Amino acid sequence: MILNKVNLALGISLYLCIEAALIAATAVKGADKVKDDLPVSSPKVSKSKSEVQLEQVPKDSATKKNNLNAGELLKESDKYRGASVFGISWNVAVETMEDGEKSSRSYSVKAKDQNALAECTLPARLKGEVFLFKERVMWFIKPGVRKPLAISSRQRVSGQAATGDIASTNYSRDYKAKFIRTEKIDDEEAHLLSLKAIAKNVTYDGINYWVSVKRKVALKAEFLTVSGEVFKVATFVYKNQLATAKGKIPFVSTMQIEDAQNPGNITTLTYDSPEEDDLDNSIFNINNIIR
Amino acid sequence: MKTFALMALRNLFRNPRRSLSTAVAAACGFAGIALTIGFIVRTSEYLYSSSVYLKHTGHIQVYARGGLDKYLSQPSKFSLTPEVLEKILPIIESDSRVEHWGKFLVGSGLAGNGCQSFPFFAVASDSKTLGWVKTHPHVKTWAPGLIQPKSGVSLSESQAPMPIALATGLARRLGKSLTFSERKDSGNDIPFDCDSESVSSDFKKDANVQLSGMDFSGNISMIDVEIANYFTPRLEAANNLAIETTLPTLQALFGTEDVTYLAVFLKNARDTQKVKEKWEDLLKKNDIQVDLFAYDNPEIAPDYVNTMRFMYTMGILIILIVVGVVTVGIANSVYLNIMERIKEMGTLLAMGFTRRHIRNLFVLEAIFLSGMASAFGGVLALVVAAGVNHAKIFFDSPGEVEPIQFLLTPSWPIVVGAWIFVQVSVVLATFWILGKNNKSNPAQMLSGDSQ
Repeated sequence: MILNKVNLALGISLYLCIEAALIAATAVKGADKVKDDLPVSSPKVSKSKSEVQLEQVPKDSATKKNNLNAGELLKESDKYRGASVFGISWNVAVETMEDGEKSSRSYSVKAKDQNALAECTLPARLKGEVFLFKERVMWFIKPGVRKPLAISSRQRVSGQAATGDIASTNYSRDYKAKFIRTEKIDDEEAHLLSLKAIAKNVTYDGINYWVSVKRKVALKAEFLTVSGEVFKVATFVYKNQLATAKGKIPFVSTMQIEDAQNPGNITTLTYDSPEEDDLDNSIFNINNIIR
Repeated sequence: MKTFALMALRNLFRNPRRSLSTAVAAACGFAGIALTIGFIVRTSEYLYSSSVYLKHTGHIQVYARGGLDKYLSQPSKFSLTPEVLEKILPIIESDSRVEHWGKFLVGSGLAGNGCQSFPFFAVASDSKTLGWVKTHPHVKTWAPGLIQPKSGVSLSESQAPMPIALATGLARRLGKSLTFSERKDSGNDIPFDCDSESVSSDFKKDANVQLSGMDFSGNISMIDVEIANYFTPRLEAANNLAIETTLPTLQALFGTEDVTYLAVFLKNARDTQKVKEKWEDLLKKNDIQVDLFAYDNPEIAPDYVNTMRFMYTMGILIILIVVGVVTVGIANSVYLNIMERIKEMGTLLAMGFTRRHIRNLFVLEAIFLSGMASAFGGVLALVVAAGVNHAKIFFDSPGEVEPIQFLLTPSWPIVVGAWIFVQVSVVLATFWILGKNNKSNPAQMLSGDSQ
């Protein structure tokens, strides 16, 4: 269990780094200027069955009034976790608390279009290990080992190397969104979206996703198992700002993921130094990395 | 007594057709019993070999306290450390009932070929133990088909720095067919072009595999290993996952000096419970926190234990039905004899025979009939078993990778036990049938009446 959870944390860090960059690179052209960059406090997380009975909840009038397309809102929320059409780089620190045991790692992340590269910077014994993400496949490259190891989305779901798509933030690419209702998350009005998987190889059949009505940033995500059980709950904070050609936009600064079945087990990803970077495509070529 | 025996034998031939048909039915029934037992014994020994030796459970497994359930989720907390092993091993080594023991480390992860990766489950021990279990006489006798590597050399013979034995199913998924000893160069250090058309042939020319998993510290680990040989595990479920390797190789992958469990192989499996209880006492006295499990514990070997429970239940049911049919058949023959010979019984009584003499006569007739029929059934079973075994009939069993040879190996002590059981049943049935018929007065009997 610990290994899986630690691994999960690792996967979370990598995916957050990479998916955010991918979203930024593919979905964002013109970011709205954000006037309100106050952090979003962590709402209470559900510990058991999904608190939302999706099929039974009718669309409320507020949602209809807004006349927003759920898919567009999803895309909009995605972009606040990354913002660069050229490329983006940042650092992320991952702290995991599992059954009272704490572990931490740091990565330097570079991402562009569908590709991303995460290199471990801390601890020293893991320095030089590289994770390359290309088209849903994660490659693990370890210094001294002859060949890289390919880890597909499906494999990240099961087994020791499981990380799954739990931290995938590119929801507009992987899920179809549907409005459920508008409700408050820690005193902030939020649209509740029900996300259903489009691709077969994503981790979850469904996600409950709360997007701020005012700021359009994601506030909370509940990752559901096939049976509708809440597996993990993620909350987001946006203290970072990313300078883009069209101005500054908020950028995710913290993502906290809590295991719904083991409430004390928490993984915290802290992002810093996000910046747009004109990255060459060749840095994502696996042969170049190995050589 | 000799006179009664001769009379009983002679009486059997007074109605030869009836005696013959009854005897043939009884013989077939008894042969059925012997062959059913033979099939159960063969299945039991095959599964025992597979479970105790080839799946490396041994007769007694020693885990860290709670390790059986929790090792895979928290390996660093529930493994046997070198310090604990130092305390346990003197107890094991000093027991003369121990034939062999080995340290085992298990774990899972992903095995890759440079382009694709697949889950694996690995078992590691020292080369000596891995070789020892495959050459054990019991395995050679009962499961020879499971110990032949498909190709390559054993782990102990391999020159590879980190050798592995790869299950054929996992090898097929990885596109591998070459072994380290067959390779022509030092291997391909450059990643394959995974999109090229020749990538499949590149895999086949390469005996190198990457193993990755979470080490005991919770970090992703990866090592290069070389394929020493290919093997076929018994179960299909394991064929797409199984890797056997040496202890240092898997310890390098998981970054540990610990092991998952100790497997202890005893000279005589019947000693298992006594040895286990003795060691539990000794370990408790020395305050060593470990759990011991016997090879027939369903938690250790669920497929072996549960399959055999089913087989024994079915076997006992079949044997009881067949014994019942044989007994009823013979009892029916005895009953007809009594009905036909009621006047003869009266005559014998009039001549001075006692009722006990008459009862003994009929009982002897029944014993001779069933005894001879059973003996013939035993011979028939031998002939059928020999024929079946010689014919090398193979069948597919659900979940098994390779077809299993249909073998019948009757256990003669059990068959003799069944023979005695049949005789006792027949005697009791004869007593019961004679009952009232043997209590009529001679005059009534002579007139042909019976009660």
